Amino acid sequence: MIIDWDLLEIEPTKDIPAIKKAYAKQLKKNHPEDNPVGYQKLREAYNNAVKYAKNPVEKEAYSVEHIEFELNQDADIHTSPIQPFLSTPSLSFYEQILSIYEDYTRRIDINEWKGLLDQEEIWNVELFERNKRVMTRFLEEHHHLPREVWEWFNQIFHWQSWNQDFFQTYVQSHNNLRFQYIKDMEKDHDLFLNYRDNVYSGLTGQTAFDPAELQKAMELFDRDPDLLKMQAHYYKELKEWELALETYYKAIEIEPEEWDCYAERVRIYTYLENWQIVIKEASDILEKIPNHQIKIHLAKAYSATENWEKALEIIEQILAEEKNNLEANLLYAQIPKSKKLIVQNEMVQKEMAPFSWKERIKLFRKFLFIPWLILISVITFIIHVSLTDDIERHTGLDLVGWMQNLFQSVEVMKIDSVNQLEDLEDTPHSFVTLSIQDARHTGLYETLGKRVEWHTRERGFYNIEDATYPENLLEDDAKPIFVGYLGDTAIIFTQSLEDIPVNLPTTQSFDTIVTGEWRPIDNHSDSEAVTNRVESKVILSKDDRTAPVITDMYADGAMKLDEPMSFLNYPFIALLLFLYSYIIFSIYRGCRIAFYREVRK
Amino acid sequence: MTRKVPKEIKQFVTAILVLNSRKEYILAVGLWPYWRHKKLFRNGLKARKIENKQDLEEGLDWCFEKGGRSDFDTAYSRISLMPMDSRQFILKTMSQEDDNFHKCNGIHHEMHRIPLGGILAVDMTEYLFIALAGQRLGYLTEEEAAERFRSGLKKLQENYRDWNEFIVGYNYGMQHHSANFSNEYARINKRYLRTILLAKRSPMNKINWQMSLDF
Repeated sequence: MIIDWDLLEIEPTKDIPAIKKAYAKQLKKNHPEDNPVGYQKLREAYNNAVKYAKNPVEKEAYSVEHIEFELNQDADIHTSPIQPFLSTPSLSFYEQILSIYEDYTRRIDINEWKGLLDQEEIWNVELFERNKRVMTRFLEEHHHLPREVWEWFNQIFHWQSWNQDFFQTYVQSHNNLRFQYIKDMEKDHDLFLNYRDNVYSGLTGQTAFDPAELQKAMELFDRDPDLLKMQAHYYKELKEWELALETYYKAIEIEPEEWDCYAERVRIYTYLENWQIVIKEASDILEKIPNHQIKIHLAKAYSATENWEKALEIIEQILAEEKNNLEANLLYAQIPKSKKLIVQNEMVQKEMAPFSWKERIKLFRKFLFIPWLILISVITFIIHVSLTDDIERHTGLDLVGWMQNLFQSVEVMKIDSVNQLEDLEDTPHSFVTLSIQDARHTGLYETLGKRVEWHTRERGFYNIEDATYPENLLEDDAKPIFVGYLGDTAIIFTQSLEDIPVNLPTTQSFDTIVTGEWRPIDNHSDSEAVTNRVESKVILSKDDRTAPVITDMYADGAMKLDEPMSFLNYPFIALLLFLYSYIIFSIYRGCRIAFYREVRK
Repeated sequence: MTRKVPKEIKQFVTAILVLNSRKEYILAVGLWPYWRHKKLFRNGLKARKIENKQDLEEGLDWCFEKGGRSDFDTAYSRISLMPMDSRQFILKTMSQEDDNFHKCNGIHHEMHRIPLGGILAVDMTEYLFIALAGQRLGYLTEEEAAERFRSGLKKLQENYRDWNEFIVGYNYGMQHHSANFSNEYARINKRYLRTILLAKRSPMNKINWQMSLDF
């Protein structure tokens, strides 16, 4: 609030008569008709200065004389055509206000005030404004009135429309405490109410709390339930539980229907874990008010004393009214499962699995579309594809098999005779290394089931002579099929194109060591043609060998198991394993996070 | 001699901080990996506008002495000291769009159920977080942090009987601060907080609320 003391031409003061004198003096220079703007400013400065002077901290009790003086001053200043209020029969109005206020029983009776304000002269158009000001000023100094009286006054004087500060201070911020219990006091009502107001303001953090004022109020009158509640509240803050319990009991003695005090006692006994009293007092309250908040304390007491059936009954009652009550849910969840089966209901299942599978799948699907996870999966796939051939060729196993074999290559058996190969009939797909002599190309190729000549062929043998574009066949993916001798027996085997010249003539023979898988030949679609071709090749071979034996197995020698894998691959393998772990962990974590995020939405 | 924080106390602090963190993360991947990251503490302090030791100590003192609970305590005293009729009258005259209405209405409906410790849980979790962050980022020595932990935990133990009350106080505090007492909010918190309390991995299942703080 800014006060223009210069305009009033005085030093800052709280002396209201001095302010009024200064105002009267300045008014002559700023008459409303001659200088309306100046008058407006002067009036504002005057109002602010008076408000400042009436600062509640240092407010003095205004006597009737003060008001008379103020109103006379106003009358003199404004030289209003209205007759001075206090020198007319209207003075009796003021006296009536005072007489009602001074009699405490009448003061708190709204009908007394209604009767007073029902008088016709109060509503006289010319006098009403002035009466309003008289009443307002009076109430500023005599404000210990019940809320309903204030409400009713406000309906008449409409303070909120012309004096917001007043409305805010006395009507809107009324502390709503009760006045009827103080009737029993013989005297000093206002002193008591002053103390009570201060204690209330202190405990509610509006002003500093002074325990001495509480003490003084109690000395004046100790049978006001509102003050007793304040005292109990203070004891609770000090954690003086016994005193708080006793004080609440005193309040109940005065007002047996003071349910707040009963409930607070239960609350304290719960804190003190005095369960038997909690059960007794809470049950008493619930008999009178069946849905009182205190029910939860009864449930706690029954749970603590392991009276599970009763606890469940109470908890179910609470949950039936408020299914999301956290404390009741926590209590319910902590009741032993064996006890809970007594009361079979939906909650048991909910507790075991609070979220349905449908919800989980929905969240899982949602999570899978997260772009970064897709990106990482693509990168992982590329690395996997680029590594997997190399791993297989060098270890004889795919990535998973290699990992399962603890990163060891497959065991390769050195085969020196046909007998050893025959022993492997029961364990096809074993890995062997053979020393082959007099090997010849059969003119056939084994395709690997990939795209050849613009269409996809099944895995099998293929005659290059039948191919329209033999270059394509060779470039794409094919392994030449050879026949050679292991001792005296003809063996079919394949070798990779990297090892055998592509244009190797079928008549030229060579010796080689084949390392690869020992596979059944039956898997091939053209096995009969192959056998015929091989036979013809064998017949063309050395005459000094015994009759050829065509085995039904062949050595798929595409591997280089005898060579260690390049060290350059290892960092990529490590990266690949890390990415796989990361993806698995992310899916797991992400689903759970998504799951809980969804829950929190 | 430097007084170190025992492991059990660290776990106790951490258990309390579960409520103050990315709860779903903790439920999903566990607590300890989360706390290892200094970035979490750095960001946490940054969000609280704490940039140096002085700010940190001021923040700690504020949480300990006053905190956000002062607003609740004022409203609680005001509402609970009024007679029932007056409470109902006051609520009727307040605008339902006003946060203050929701806060007062919440207190009116819960005043006898709120634990005696009120919503101190929210301020103390904040206090312990700042203290832990201060220690991890070097603003507080181990000894200073130990003292802060002890005072914070002691205050919690004095005001709440057990983990249940602590959780209820915390939940109520969060509702009060956000002035959100909707059924949906309660539903989500119920499912989530119940899971935290009951989960096998939850430290709340392993730590005794009234554990000794003599260290």
